[in-house]
Amino acid sequence: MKINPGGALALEDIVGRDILVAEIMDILETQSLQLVAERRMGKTHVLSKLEVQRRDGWIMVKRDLEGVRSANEFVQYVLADLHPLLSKIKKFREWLANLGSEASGLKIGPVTLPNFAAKSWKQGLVDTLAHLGESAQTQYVVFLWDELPMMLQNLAKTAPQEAMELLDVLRSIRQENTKVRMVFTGSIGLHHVVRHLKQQGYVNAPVNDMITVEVPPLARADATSLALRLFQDNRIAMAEDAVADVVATEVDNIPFYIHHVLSKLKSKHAGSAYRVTADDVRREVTDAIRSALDPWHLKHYEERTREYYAGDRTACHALLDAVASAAGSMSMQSAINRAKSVVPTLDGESWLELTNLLERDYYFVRHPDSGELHYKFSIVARWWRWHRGVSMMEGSAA
Amino acid sequence: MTKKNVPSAQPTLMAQKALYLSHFTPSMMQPETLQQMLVQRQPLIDACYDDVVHSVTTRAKHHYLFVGPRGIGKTHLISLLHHRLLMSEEIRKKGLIAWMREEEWGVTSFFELVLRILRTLDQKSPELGIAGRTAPLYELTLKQAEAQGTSLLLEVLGGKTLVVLLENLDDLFDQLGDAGQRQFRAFIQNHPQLVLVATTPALFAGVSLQKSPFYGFFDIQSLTEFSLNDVVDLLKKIAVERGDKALADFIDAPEGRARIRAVHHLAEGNPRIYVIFAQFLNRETLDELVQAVMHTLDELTPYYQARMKELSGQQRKIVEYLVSYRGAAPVKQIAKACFITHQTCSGQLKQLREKRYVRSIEQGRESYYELTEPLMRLCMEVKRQRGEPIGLFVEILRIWYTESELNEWLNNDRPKGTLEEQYVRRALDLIKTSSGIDPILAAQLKELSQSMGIADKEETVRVFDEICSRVPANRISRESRTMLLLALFWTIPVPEEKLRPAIEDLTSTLREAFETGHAHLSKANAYRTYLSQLAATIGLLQIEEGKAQLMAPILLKSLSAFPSHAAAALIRTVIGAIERPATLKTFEILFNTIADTASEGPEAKFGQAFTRMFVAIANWKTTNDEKQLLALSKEERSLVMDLPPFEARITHRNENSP
Repeated sequence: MKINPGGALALEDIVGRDILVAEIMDILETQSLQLVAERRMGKTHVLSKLEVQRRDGWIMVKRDLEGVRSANEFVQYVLADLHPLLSKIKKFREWLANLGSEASGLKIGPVTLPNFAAKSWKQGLVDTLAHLGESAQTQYVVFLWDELPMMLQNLAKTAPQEAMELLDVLRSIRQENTKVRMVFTGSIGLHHVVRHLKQQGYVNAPVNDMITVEVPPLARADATSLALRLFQDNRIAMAEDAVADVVATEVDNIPFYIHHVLSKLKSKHAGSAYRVTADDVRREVTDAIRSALDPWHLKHYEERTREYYAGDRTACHALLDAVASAAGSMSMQSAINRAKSVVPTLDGESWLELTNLLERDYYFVRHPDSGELHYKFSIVARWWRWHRGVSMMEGSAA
Repeated sequence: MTKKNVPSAQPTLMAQKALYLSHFTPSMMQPETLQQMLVQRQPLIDACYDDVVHSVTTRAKHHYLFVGPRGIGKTHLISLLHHRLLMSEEIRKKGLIAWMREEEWGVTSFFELVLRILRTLDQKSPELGIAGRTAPLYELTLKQAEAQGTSLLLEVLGGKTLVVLLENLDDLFDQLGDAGQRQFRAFIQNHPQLVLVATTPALFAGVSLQKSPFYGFFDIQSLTEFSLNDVVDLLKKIAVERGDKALADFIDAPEGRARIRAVHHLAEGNPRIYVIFAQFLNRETLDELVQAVMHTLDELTPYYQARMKELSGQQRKIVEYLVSYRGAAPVKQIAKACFITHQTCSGQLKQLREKRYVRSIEQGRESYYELTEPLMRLCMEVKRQRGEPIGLFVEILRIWYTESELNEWLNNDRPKGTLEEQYVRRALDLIKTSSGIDPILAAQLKELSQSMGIADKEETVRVFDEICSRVPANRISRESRTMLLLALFWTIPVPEEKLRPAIEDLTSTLREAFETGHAHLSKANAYRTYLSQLAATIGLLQIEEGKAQLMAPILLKSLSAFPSHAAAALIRTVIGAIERPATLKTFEILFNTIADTASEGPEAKFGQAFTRMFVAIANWKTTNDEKQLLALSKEERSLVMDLPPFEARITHRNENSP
């Protein structure tokens, strides 16, 4: 297995996601879903694994939508993706031919798809998908749409009405077309896009029929196994096998960072007699976190609060500083009390809402029993502490 | 009289070769030359090549982005990679290559990028018949052509993977805009048949902001400046390429290395500057010096001028200050020099950093800023100097050549009044008027300090050898060198044979150094001066004990100027000597000789001070009572308290001896 931080992995190199993929396939038997996670957690690779799942009567269609600039273009791509299946159906071919008077759009082989006029894209989408009913052997068509929120955000900038209508028509299709399943995922949360549309008058709940599934970091065993394999396949010697476990632990079992750490170790030690130790690994991770160059782009966690939390940014930072000051976890009330010393004017309800938002945006998690807060990712907590000069509380371990 | 800037009528073959290299257009060089000139980056290019081949032959895709300022070697790497990929059987079978040159940018949409790629493929592989298939696109509307263009590219690729080599990715992304970048990325995601290897002068928002489409997409490799070893390696290779074995041997020798080290800190590790510097290495190529140098800088100047125009007036002032300052400066200093407030300066520096003109270095709580591109400094200096010799290159000449070598060049039969002659004369003036430590020795001292600081024994001994092998021209440098060599002799494992042959010269220079030191003695520098003098004397006596009688009087004369400081320095030296049994004997010889000599007059005061302080310390250490030091003056107490901690092992030989 080659070290490839951020790149596209071969399917056989995507490790630790089989259980998740199986769970998703089970969910899709009954409903559509949103796949959510922090960026670089591997959502796209999960989609790649879903794409190659083989079940009788299931058609998996994967597409990245971030380059799509209009609803019309979106519908063209849906048509293009379904064409190999639907073109076998006579009624579909006749329907398509009847549309031929429209200006030409995408070309697939000898077939040129129609460009739907501004008002007819919705009907075009509904009609295209309706033809699935004529494919007896098709049980489900699963659309794996990567960066759908990004596409909607782009649409919302120039044609917010179109974005709203697209969300509504997709929901309608999910309700009425039993053969259609959808998986949405992307680098921005759909809830941010919907919130923006609501500010422009949108009143619906477009995805309340979709279950949310989080793509977590790898299981510890899988993360260790990944690190071990990368060490071995890239001729980087370890002082002991436990070093692989240290890699996994130090980066919260996130495969993207595992590749990064190994990439650094490879540049220093590949092919040499040197045996990498646990301390070497810890040093690489610390260097990456503390570097002013921010090679792991962890500063993003601070920068994005400007956009996500706007007027509450100071309060948000105060909460993040407070929780960062504890080595372990901190009760919500303690965190709020500390943060209040920075922003005394915010009321209790607002603090609670802010805490919830920070949880939703992957900063915090709550202990399942005590409800105490701690950072979801230790690398983020460490970055936060170091670059914002947050001192650990007395009695906390360094 | 020959006009200025007119080259010699018939450059020699060596000069032609040197000129070729100094232009250094990697994309036009033979692959064998590119490979031969590769320094430091062999593992990087091997890894990149392997990953690209892997990306072509499997479903995995590994995209690279090389980052580094102008002149750091990005195009060299891409050119070499291109050649290697062309030679690969696997790439030939399963891939296609499109090398997108930096001059090609003018694309403003993803569709135009696709067209450029198609055009590039058509130029390299006309048998694909792309031109005929793109022609119909121009008959369509833009929207229709967009839809067809990507389909065409996919048809052309068939089942192959396209390797796209892209230079100045930051410019391309600027022109594509957010929409174009998103389409590009979506295309790559939807059709995993592309692998990108790109370059950029510095990281930019398009790859480093989390919301950017290509965030986390590339394996980012920062190209680092050359270390001294890399530079030596490169210059040797250039010398070999020119067929100049004598020069290659000289570069490898301590003397050559010492000179290169002195140039190293001027060139800031930028390979392009070293390639220019290679022009200076041989006196024959000196004739073509200015033409070659100015050609390289002329190519770069419009680029930097255009960049400066992008800046506001205040930002330009800041950049111009950093150009002249030559180093990393704190915000406060920059603000003061530019007559702007600290806050304004901070804000402007932040913007300059985002625009990649400067980088910041954190030291504790303070931020220092320096230019990211040393070549910018050079180009701006050229513009400022308006035809005058450029300071950097005058300094390089002065370092590389001796005074006699430069005079010999001047006196040879050649056209007079050329710019080359101005450079040489300016370098000679610099040698004559310079009163400080010569730059080669200064660079060696800096290196020595660093290597000793990190306990790198090998490097310390290597630098020591270099210093041994070269005697500087000016007096102050010679004296500093002597003091250093002798003082270090008893602290690092150096064989006696390195210094013994020059023992007479070292002795006489040491005596001169003591005279010079004595003339500049003050209370403020006395302690440090005496430590150096004592250390050097011990080093001398380690080689030849018999010199003790010769050195004692002059040493004592110096020590008597500030007897308390001298006594403290002697005690400090004792502490150091005790830890080295081999040195202890030498120290005893020195001590006894001084004691015998310091019997009357001012010298006796030194003896008295020493006895007084020694007894006080002995009593203090024996009783563990600091009040024993009250027997000393305030100044002496302060000197004693500044001594490093030590365990006293005090023995008395007899009742009458101190």
